[in-house]
Amino acid sequence: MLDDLIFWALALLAVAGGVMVFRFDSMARATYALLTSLLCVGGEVLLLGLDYLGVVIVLMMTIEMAIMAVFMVMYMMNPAGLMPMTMVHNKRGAAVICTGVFAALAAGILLAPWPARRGRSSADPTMDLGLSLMGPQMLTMMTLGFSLFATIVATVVLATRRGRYDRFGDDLKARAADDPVRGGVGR
Amino acid sequence: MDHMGHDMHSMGEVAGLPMAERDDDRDALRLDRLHVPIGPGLSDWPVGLILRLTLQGDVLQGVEVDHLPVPSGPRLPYWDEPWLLAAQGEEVTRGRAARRRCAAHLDSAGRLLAVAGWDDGAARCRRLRDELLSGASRQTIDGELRRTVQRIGRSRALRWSIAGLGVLPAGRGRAAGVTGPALAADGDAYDRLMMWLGEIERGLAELDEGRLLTSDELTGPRGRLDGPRPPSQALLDVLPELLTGAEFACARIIVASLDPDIEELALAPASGAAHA
Amino acid sequence: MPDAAPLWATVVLPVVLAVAAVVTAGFDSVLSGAAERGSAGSVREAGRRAVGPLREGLRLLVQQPRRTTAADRLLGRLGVVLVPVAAVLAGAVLPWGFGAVSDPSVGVVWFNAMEALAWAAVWLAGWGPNSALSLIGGYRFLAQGLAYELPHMFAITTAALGAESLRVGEVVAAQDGVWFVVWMPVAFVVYLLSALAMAFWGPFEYPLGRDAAGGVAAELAGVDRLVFLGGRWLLLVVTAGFSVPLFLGGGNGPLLPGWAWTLLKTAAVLALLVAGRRALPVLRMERYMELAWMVLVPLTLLQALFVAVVVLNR
Repeated sequence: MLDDLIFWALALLAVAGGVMVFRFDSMARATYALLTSLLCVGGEVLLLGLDYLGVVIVLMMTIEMAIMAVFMVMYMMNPAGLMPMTMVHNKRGAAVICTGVFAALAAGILLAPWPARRGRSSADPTMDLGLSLMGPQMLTMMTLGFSLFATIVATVVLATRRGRYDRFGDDLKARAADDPVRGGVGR
Repeated sequence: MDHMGHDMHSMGEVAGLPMAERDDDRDALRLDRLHVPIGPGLSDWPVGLILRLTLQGDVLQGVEVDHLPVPSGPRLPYWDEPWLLAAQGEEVTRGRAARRRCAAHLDSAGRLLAVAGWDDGAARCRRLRDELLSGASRQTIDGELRRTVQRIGRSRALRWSIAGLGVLPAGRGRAAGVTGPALAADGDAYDRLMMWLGEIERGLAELDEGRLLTSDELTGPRGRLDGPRPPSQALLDVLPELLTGAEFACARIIVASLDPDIEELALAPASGAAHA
Repeated sequence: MPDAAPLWATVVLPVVLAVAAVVTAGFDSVLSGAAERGSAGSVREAGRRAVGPLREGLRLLVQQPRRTTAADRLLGRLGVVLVPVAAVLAGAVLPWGFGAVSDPSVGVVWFNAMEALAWAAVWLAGWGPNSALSLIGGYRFLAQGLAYELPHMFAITTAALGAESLRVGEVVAAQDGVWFVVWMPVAFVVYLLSALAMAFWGPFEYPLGRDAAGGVAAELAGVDRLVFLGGRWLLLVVTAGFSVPLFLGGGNGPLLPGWAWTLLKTAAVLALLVAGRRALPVLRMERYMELAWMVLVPLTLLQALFVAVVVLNR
């Protein structure tokens, strides 16, 4: 009973937060509305008994949204969202696509023939999760990890305007890097 | 995410506040720039100094130096008083001048340490400054002053934190008319702090000196007082060059490491105008 | 594994944390009083200095809050309130020696998640007042977060790795013999650094730096300021207190009962941090960032590798 209550409260809050992302006219508010929504999803996962996944969702999404807020706002220096802005392009198309996707997903959830539980839930789902990710799928996870990391490095390399030749001179012999702001290791 | 029309950047004001407009930044990105004045009254800030900053993120893209009008009354600038009095022919002992110089440098060092976030060091400098000015004898203050100076001089974390900020080579300083410790330091904010500390230690030996200042010894805590312009004016003149392209946090440290004294500008023959 | 604490602990927790915060702030106030006005001389004077933060708190209670033009009051308020809330929620998994308010199977991750919440909260508090200086402060905290969060996560992961559990109670139980600090010194030091960074206090006061006229707190006055700065002390107490179960053996120790050892160790860590702060200027993020990524991350990774190898061969 209590679980049901919490489930519905979180579910409604999550959807409401999602809607508010598009209603707010300030980027910071939109970001934090999205964060509210994602935190509620984390709560739902906790409710399912998947403690680790739930808490990790809370952790990762908080950090992610905080960083996202910076990226969105740093191009606009007006503090506190002085510049009102709408959060949607192509209003009508977006509305149609959103409603369509939401309806399709909801219908899928309601109509799918979910199997009944066989056996009992495990005592330590975190351990099971770790084993199933890192046991038989170890190779996949390692490959995934490396390709993600390589992507990050490659993106930074492509995006940066200044390479080591700019920093250390054409013969790379400068002792201190020529940076606009000096770092803390003295390279 | 979209502005309500991309062309609305020049729309002026929202809620009575000016909007940011865009321009290229240090890293060749086109970002909003915001005009932020800092000063004239801020804690740990040279009283009366106003910097009109153009910020992009927290990078300074433009700096305009300004200050409050300096009252040109009969009162001499406090920190330069002993030397100016001597120049006017009064009898001023070297001890009194050394005391004022030490106190001035402690005042400056306190401000710099406060801005660098070392509250403890700053508090000690200020307490010693007050004790010096209230006439503490050399015996009572010597030990603690030396300990404090050594402690600041030995702090590697402080050096790590502010070295490399606001480098002012002697050549450039001389060209701008800078004299005094800022010129002698021939380096960054940390070098200037070390120069102050060195002068404090040397001044300590002279605290009880009874000989009189001669009227041609006209070098105050911030530089030569007999030049064409007061030393602080030269310090203000090098500010835009040192600050442009620096980050906001570095900017405060650079200003504090030069520590111009706005009161001193009253020395200039025609510094009544408030525009640098 | 210790039993769960009784229900009253839930109510008592915020009070205990607040008392600890006031005592810590008082100690800090005595030390800064010594720097500003010379040594206290008498017990009476020292006591007067020690209640300084309390007096300041009462003054803030009656002070008029400040309003700024075109502020985002909803988000600003939210950020201010979230700081102490996150601190108390993180404190819920602190073991008191005989049990914690709650000891979930993923307590270590929960603690980290609540810290991240404080992270977002500080940015909100800086964003809210629509002031350039407080926004700069807010951004600084995000930069600080990017610098400390990764080494910090590796450090607490190392402790969890050593205990082979994410449950705080089991991390403590695993230190029945040798404390983790003995064979994970790097992780411990990095944890202490990041504990300060998380509480944006002391050498990591950068987001509230005096050079930005108080940064995030520049526009906060009255109750807002009290809640925000009080929340910061709570965060400091909680993060310092969490180093005890992670690295210092929790309530393990001879003669005294578990709660007494927990209290003693927490007080020792706090005293170390508060006294150590006097020797350091603020670590500016443009410098610390490079140090964190170039030095601390590799170091903590090596430490984790070492612990993993030890655990595998146990």
